[in-house]
Amino acid sequence: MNWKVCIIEDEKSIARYIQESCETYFSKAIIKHICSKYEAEDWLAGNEVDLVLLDLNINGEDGFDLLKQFSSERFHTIVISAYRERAIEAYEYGVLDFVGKPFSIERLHKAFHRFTNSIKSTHTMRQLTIKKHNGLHFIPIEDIVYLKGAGNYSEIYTEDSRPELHSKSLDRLSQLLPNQFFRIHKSYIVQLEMIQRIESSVGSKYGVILKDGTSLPVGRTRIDALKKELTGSN
Amino acid sequence: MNQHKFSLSLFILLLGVIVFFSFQEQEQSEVFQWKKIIYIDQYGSTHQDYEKLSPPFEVKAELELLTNQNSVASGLGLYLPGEYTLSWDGKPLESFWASHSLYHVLPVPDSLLHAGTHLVELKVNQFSAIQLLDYENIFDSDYAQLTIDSIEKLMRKDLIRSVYIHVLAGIFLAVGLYYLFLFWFHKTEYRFVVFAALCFCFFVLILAEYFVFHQLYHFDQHQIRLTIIRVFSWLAALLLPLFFQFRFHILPRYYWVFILVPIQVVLLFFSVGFDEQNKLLILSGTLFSLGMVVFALRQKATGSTEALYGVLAWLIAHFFITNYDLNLFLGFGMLIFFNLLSLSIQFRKQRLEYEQSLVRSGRLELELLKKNIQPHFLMNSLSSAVSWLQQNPKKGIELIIALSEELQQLIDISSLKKVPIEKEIELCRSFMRVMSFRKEIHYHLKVIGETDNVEIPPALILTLVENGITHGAQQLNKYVFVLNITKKEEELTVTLQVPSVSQKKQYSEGTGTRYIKARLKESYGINWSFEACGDGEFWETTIKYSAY
Repeated sequence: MNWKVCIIEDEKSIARYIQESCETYFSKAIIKHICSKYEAEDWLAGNEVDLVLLDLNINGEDGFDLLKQFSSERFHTIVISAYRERAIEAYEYGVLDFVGKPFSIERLHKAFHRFTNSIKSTHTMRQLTIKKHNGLHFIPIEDIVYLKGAGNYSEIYTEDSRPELHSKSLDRLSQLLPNQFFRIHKSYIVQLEMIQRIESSVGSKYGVILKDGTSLPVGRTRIDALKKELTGSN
Repeated sequence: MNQHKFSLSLFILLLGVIVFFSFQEQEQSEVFQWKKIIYIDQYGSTHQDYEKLSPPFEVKAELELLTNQNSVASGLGLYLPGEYTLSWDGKPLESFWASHSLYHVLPVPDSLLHAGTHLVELKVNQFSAIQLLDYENIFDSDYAQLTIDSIEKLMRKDLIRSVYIHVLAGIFLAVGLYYLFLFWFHKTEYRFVVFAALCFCFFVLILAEYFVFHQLYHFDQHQIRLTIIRVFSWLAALLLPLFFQFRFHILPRYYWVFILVPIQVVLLFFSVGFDEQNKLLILSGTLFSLGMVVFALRQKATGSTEALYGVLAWLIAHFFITNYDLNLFLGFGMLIFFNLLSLSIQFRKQRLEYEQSLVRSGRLELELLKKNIQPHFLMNSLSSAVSWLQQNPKKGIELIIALSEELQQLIDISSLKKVPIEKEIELCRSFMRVMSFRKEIHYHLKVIGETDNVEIPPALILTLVENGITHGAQQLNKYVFVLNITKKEEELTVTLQVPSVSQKKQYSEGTGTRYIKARLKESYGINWSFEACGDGEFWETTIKYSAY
């Protein structure tokens, strides 16, 4: 696949080093190097990418506001930074991996592997960032009832408000969400504790009834794992 | 904090003392005003008014005794600046002391001291019309009051009072000397020398005031004594606000003099009586000080509560104790008392601040190390070294060497308070070398001006260079930073010009500038300045500080 990768890094030698390791890992990646915050904002607004490799300190400026913004975008973000003590904080916004500087090529490749093989992030996010016309909104993970895939987007259903649209696909979000979220169907991810009961209907079709009364379908291949998860957690 | 309770209870205690003294006063001897005074000049003609008659002249007056004086060996006490003989109901009385003395005690036979009206005749041979005693009629004033009491009491009461008051004088002298010595070793603390001067003023005032009770000087010298008292009273009335000015650093300096002195002159002009005028002088100074202390209190200055108690105690003493000398000296004693308290509170605060500054200095050293040998800088540099080693091992090694040199220089200077500016420049260049590798931009530091014997707190310019590189322009592959050093007599000006990103003109305070300001404050107190400005193309930071 032709992944589009963007490297945001203000030190040229490091950027080159990252670029080289990208090239060795992704055989056909399209790589763009950006070395300032403003350039990054401009460029990303007009270009589609799949993966952003972000340095958290670009020319002495805090990269966290970039990160917040990125967490609402469709692409995955991998942070490469010397600020290891801020790794947990970065994960909470929903980054796929955090690579501390200095790093080996192997470590970077492991992060890429997580990206290409849809492996879950080691630490999980605490809130979902939604981009709206009036700025960024944050939905705490606990408030989410379920998520529904809608093509390249996801719909986020919470208890009290109308569904929100997130730019990441359901596949990508599932990599970032904590374990209390379960993929019950290729188009649905549910927070386990929102499930009231499992319902079976004719034709070995399964579904779940949520506490708010919503009924959602359960994929045939996923029902056993779901049952196991529910009994295990109860 | 119990400090305020402590001060308040002391204040209440002293109020008790004042009330006690005010009761003591009531047990004083009976004093009499001259009544129906007739003056007879040397030619035998009578006058209703004194009109500054020239001696010899006679004064006849009546005295009304309300009760029989039963005490043994009674007498008359009289202060008058002249030589005279006094007769009581026609009987001449003899003084114990030399005729030229200011104060006379004249024994009166008991038989003459019955209740009723008595005739007092005064034959004045010499008389000194003292300038400062500008009474219309001295015999009408309380100055020439007659005191009637037992001889023993008349002779002793002033001596007894003098004894106690001289104890107070000793305290003023000791405290004054103490503060004079303090000033000697802390030349910048003017409040010490003013306080010392104030104490000496009151010491002299007491000596002068009570001189009359133990030295029977000639009445002609009375003028000298009164002049001394007037001068020192006025001085004290001016020194008190001056003291509070230095003590609290409030009000525009010295301007109050131009308000207070005219007020005092007007007061002197419109008042009569020597003691009364002195009282007004001191009172105006005290009220003025009260205003200053209240102002200081509103600014929450340290020790201002105690200073307020002191001034209040004085004012209360002033209104409670009617005896002029006593209220003045007792009141001032209380003021001193509370000022000692207030000064010791301020002293404690200063000592704490000093201790904190020592801690701060230690912390600055740590901060310097933390800021520059911080893991992020190291990690980023190492990260860069890793990439260089991968791509160009020779350059990678050069970077590691440059990095280790920079770290070594930093460790060398970190514990110093000031370093020669050459060392600082060397450090900056090492840092720039590291950053040149990392950013792949050639950074150069150009130095203009004399660097000999110029010192600077460590890592000040380094911090500016750091900021200049991290926040600065990166479009070109070469940048020159210009360091300008100028020494003008006592002042050093160090300016660093760095190429900047065109958008950013606003100056924001980061950890770097906080570090710089903390260092400057530590080394130069308030004698420094820090300014930064940018015109879009360049960012210029100027630090000025004392050269020594």
